[in-house]
Amino acid sequence: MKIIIEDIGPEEEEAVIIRCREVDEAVMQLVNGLKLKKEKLTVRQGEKILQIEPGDIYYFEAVDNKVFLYLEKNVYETRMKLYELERRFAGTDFFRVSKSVILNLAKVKNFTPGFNGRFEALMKNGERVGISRQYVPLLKNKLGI
Amino acid sequence: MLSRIKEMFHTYSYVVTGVLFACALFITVFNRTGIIPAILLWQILAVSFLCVLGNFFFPQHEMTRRERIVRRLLHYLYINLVVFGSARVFYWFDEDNLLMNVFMFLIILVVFFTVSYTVHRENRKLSALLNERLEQYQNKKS
Repeated sequence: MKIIIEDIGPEEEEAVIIRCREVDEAVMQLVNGLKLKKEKLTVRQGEKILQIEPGDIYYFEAVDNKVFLYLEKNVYETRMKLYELERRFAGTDFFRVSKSVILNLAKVKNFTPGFNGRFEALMKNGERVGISRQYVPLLKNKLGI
Repeated sequence: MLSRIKEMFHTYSYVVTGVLFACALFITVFNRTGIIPAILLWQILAVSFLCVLGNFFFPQHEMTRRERIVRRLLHYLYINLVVFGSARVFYWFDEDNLLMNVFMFLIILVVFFTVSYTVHRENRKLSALLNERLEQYQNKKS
């Protein structure tokens, strides 16, 4: 496969064109990877407005109609709804594991069985996130089981 | 909801096996004639079903350790209530016979923990598989 990178002027819009015979899993991974790199999330922390790389996010959680995103150590609030985030990051490493949580599979260290059909994800920063049993079949599917 | 019902039927198969085993043991020990009425089979299925309804003691949401222990205890008490209640309704045993009561109590304990352990072991197997695939998934990405 040839890789062509063209220099463009500052006034031109950046674009990625993929020429392929079929859109297979590898192509989709490339697209989703680009999506994750490009689409930074804007969050507020008091007066400050920050841009967060999606790849740095461990998980999103909805609590009392507010959505928080958890990084390795910090927690920020976003104005986006959980279903909007789910749509925005569809097909990427982000995966809905309960009614209130979307987690980043790239940041999961391992899974452990919880209680009564539930599972728990141990994140790479040591946090534990519950996986509802109705999402377990979807997780199996996502991981190709 | 559908996945919960599916899971209940899955657990039901274990519970029926456990209750059947308990009945076989109970009949062998206390009913030396070896004659059992056909209705007993339906009673086993019904009691097992009532026992499985105890799964609703566990909510879908995340539980604290304390809540988990309390619910587990309530679940166990519910199972005892169902089995002893059914035994009384269906005239399975003589209530005044202490040995029968103790035997029944012990057999419930054994079946309860065997079913719980079997379900937990299945989940452990699944989590091992999930971890294996997660590793492959993450390696493919990097």
